Amino acid sequence: MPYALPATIFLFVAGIIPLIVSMRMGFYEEVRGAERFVGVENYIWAINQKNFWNATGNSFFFSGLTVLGHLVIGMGFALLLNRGIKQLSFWRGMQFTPWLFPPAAVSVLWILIYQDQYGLLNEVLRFIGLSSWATNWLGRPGTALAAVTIASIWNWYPFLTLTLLAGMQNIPEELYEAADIDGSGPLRKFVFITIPHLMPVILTICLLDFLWTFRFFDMVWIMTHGGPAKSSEVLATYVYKVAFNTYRFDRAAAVGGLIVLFMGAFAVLYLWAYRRIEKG
Amino acid sequence: MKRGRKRRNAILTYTTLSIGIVIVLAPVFYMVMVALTPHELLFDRIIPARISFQNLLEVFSTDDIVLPYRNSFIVSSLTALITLFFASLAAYGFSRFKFRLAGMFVVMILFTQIIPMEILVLSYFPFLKTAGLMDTWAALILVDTTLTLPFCILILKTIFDGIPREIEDAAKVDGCSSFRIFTKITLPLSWGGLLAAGIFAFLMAWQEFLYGLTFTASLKARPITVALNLLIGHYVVSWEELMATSFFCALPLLIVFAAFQGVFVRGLIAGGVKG
Repeated sequence: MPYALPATIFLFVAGIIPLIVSMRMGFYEEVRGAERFVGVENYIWAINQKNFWNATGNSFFFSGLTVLGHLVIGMGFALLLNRGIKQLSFWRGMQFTPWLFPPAAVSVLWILIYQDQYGLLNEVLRFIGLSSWATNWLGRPGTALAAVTIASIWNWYPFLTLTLLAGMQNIPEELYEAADIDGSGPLRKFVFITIPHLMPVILTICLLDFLWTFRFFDMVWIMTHGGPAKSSEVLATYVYKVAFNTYRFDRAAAVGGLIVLFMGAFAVLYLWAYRRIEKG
Repeated sequence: MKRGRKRRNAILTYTTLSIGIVIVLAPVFYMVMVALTPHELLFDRIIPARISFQNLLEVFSTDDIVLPYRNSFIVSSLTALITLFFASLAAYGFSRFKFRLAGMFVVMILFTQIIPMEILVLSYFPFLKTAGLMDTWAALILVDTTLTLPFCILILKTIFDGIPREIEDAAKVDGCSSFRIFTKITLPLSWGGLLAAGIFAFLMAWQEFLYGLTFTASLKARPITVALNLLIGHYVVSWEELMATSFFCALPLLIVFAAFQGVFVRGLIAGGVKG
């Protein structure tokens, strides 16, 4: 007990209490240094903002697609790495590289990749004869958010690879041997052995990944600043702008409260679905 | 017949894997190439006709980059040390002693991992301002530690759980206090886990952007990630310098990872999968 105390107190004081203080801000208004309780006024302000719902939609799009991308690429690499290859640590290390890049560095790199005139993406498109596709990826409302999403998929899929690979290594080898004797092909083995055994790992890591991405700020901020025309605004950047562009911390806190609500609702629904799947 | 198929399978695996890795590393390759291109040859072609280290040297001779680099090093190292101190004690407590509320503590620790940072910023900001900690290393270390601590506790708890209890029981019979057992037996036996947790904390603190953006205002404490962001759109900064800076920004993490890959990956899995 005494051992666990310092860290617990630290996290309580520097994590839980600030959260409560922030949440409380949403219900108060500050007038000349004095606080006044205003109930859900700030919340009503927030849900009447078109920008808030725009950012909410974008956040779900951004997080959902990012997690999906992580899962597909991570699963692909994990399956390949789990085939008893030699120099596992070399290959694992190579595929892990993107995760080591700070999101700030990743953002700057992808700004150049998406650059209109000489960015890598447009160069490649021109090279393969699709020059009509070349465009200013981050500068157009239709493509900006998708472009940031791809960069964020690239940055973090390695964590999913590692987790899924560790999960696969825990599946008993005998199951696959038995399937071999039955003459099952690789696809059957993947669908009927790998996926069911991996399901708890997949569901847990996807939930965590979704919640992490949902609060993610760096890339949207650096790459597009939420633009153009708010087309890539996510809740994280929206809160920040409400707080620091207008210095209305109370309104920002209300938006924050709604974010917590979304995350909580998502987690509850998700866990409910998880239980149902588990029961069959 | 069977061996032939096995061989074909192996070739297919390595080929697919190589293609996949080439694709995901292409952006990194591109970054390095642009960073090494002399300005007059920029965007002529992807692999420049002539390579120059001028950009790297130039970037690394300005205060705008060197000082944030120093700040990041100091903040990340101290964050890692403080995190290790708190996390190893806590992990030991959770691993060895069953007490009431333990479950609740663990849930709380897990919970702090998913609190949105931009919400915490709203109360950190007035607090740090009142405390006079704006634009200091101390502020960044304080807030970064809340980011790194939860996951590091999970890593170390898994590692400590894996140490056979018999070893410690023997020392207990010899009359060692639990703290002595912790420092003389448990910690030395789990150096790999400590290293992994320390690297993880360093990495998290180094990559951090939002707190750095909000709580620093000058070269006094500004971390490299924020300094990099400030270069974008700056009219005197060109692409090759931006790529050189980005590469520098990732370099320490690449080096640490290359040196300790095995230990680090095992630790990460310990925290991620079991936790």
